[in-house]
Amino acid sequence: MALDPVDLFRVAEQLTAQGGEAECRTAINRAYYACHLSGRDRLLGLDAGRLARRPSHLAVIDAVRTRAGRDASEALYRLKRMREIADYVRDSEHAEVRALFAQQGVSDWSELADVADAITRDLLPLLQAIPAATAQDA
Amino acid sequence: MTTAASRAVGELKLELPLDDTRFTPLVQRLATEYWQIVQRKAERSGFPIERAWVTADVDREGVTWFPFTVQSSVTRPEAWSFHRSLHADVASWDELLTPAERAVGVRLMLWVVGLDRTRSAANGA
Repeated sequence: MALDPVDLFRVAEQLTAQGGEAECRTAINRAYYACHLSGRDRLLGLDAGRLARRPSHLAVIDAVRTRAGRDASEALYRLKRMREIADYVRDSEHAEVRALFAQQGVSDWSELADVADAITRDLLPLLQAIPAATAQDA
Repeated sequence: MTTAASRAVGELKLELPLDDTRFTPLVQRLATEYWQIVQRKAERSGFPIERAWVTADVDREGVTWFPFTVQSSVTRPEAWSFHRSLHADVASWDELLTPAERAVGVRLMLWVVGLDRTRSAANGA
């Protein structure tokens, strides 16, 4: 039985509600992957990652643009960017973190996780409305 | 009728880091065209824009992206609603891009950010 990406988002919401920095960073990661995996598998079939050549994040974002519109692909990219910084940049005073906070108009990880949570709530239904991939798509 | 907010949007300039060599003439042109779509829509609908700028980011796969940030004093749901309202205009623009332009255009990513970040607004209430 396959994991429902929506369950990843439920975990993200629970972590965001807890409010600590580690929880909020992890919530952003789970929110992004809830959307990335939803989009990837709707476009390319379940576990497209098992293909000989995994689709890049760019390929998934571009496919979402084609099938669900540029606004959906841009929201997915926004989560991706948040996820990369949340996962890899440990120093919250780092220029990349400060630039991201300034872009999003937030002052801490809790507020950023709130933004990621809200984006995901808007984006997931758009991704899940993409017609499911057929065997030929994969 | 032109409101004070839409007049201000009409006068606003898109900030591009022209000293950054990643901002080739093609990137600059596409960013400007995209900004004109956003600006026209904002003027027509009275959507307030505080600032608009484009940066460059390289991701973990080595892809260079061009986040195009538009900050507004509205709530986050209002910002998303405005972003969604651009759908048809931007799709028409996308369709006219040549393959070379599209290869760059797909990496120009608009973020409409609502700065009114009360908790109820952030949660979509």
